[in-house]
Amino acid sequence: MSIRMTDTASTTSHDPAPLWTYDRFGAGQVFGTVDIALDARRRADFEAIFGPVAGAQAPRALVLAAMMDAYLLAIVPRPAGNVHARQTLEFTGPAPAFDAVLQITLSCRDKEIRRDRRFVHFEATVTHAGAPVCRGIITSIWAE
Amino acid sequence: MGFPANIPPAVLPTSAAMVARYADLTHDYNRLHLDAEFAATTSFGQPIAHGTLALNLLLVAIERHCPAHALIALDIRFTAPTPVGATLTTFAHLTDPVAGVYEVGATIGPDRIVLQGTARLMPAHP
Repeated sequence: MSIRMTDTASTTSHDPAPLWTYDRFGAGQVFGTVDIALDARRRADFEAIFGPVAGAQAPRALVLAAMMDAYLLAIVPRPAGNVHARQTLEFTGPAPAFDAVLQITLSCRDKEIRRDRRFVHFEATVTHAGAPVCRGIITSIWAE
Repeated sequence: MGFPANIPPAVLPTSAAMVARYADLTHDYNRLHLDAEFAATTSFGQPIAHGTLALNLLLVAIERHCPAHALIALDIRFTAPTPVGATLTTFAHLTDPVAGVYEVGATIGPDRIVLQGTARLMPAHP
């Protein structure tokens, strides 16, 4: 697993990364691209929870799990108390095979305050070897 | 091929061990999910499962029980927490037989909805 961070998400090696607060987010901001391998360990974790998967094609649910992994890796540190409020998914290509390495790019689509709550809409674009796999919007209520 | 009126549910009793395994899968080690002592100090009062655990179960149900159709799009809201130890049950009811749109979600207990929204399917091999 590797992360290629953009300037907006990176810090120097000497400074601790600053907390991602609501004020720091802006529409169009790109946080980086995370490589997530659908490897044997990930398959074993998935099958231990949801049961065996037949065939060589990874289930859609595993792509979602990889997307959440990438989101948590790309946007750190986060304040305690964030709430995952809404999720959209659009499957834009065939399901990848097990052992595929997904490239997942995270960006900020928009943010808004409603009823005194700070909503941040993150977009995750999943590709494999340049081909589209899935796109999702993760809406979080940001704590700070 | 027509869309089925209902997609059979997937049922998943949650446990601390399972939630720990899901944390390994997604690298989400939020203490709210894993640390009973910490969770007792929050408004939830006890550990709660990751919201996407229920969403993953819904995707598994659709893919496993409806192999002739492919999930194209989904839009859901997380409406309530799932206490660790509760049993998740998914549902999917066809609401638009032309467009292949389903009302989907997951419940705990007899009728407490923890996630709810819509999903659109299409024939897997048109």
